[in-house]
Amino acid sequence: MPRPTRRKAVRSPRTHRHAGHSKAHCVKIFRRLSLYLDRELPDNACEEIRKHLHGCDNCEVFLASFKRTVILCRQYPAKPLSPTAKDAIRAAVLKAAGR
Amino acid sequence: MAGEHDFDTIYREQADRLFAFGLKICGHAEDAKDLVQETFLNAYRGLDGFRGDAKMSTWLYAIAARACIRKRRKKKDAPDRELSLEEFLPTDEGEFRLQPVAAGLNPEQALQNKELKGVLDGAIQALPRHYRLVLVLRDMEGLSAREVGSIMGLNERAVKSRLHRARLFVRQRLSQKGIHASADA
Repeated sequence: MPRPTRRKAVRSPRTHRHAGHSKAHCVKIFRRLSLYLDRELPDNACEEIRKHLHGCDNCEVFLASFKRTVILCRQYPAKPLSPTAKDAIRAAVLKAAGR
Repeated sequence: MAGEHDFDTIYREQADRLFAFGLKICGHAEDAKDLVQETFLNAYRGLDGFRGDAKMSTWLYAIAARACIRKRRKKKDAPDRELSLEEFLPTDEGEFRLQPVAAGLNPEQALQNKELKGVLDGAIQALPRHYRLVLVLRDMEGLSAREVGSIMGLNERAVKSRLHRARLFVRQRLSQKGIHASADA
């Protein structure tokens, strides 16, 4: 009798890790993502989140897009005033102030 | 009254910063210029009262933020709505996995993408004003939660709560647009 071949476990991109946690745990992580990103949580809470992310593809992917959104805001380019506008506003302020 | 030299020094050092802030809050260059003018006029009149407890830039942001809030009241628009966390909680797998923001591009490249920048600007403008002020001050101007709290009259916990909701709002808006940017876009 031929020996059954053991199928190699290959996780497709659509197969998600859920290491025995409930959706409520995902919600708990979701509520604290900003504090996690801003490093405002104690070490044990960070470790709990890291463990959750390791076991939950959905939250891991959500965090990636959330983090990218925050980075885009932080790196949003600042547009300076034109020299003409800067001079005009200064003159208007001084005039309104009676100088 | 403040000396003209003091005013000039402050104006020279801070005008661009205040304009950039105004542009993010108001969305239009002319409104941002008006905000710069109003802020510096109020600063000029109140400079003697500046005690130096906060940084000059933080003091100016506070004057500008108050001006924004006053303008909002004058317009007598509908009051700003509150954002609840539940409205951003993904309800299905697809929502979890939306990848909004020009994957494959670094942030600098992504922000050069006109479509993405337009959607990001639109998302920031669509935020209720008291959330927009917190997001802009904290994430875009780089102030600490404590500084934002002192400007907005909020405790740090409230600042962090508003910031989280504002970030989720922007992420959701970017995701809904489904941007697929390329490096040369």
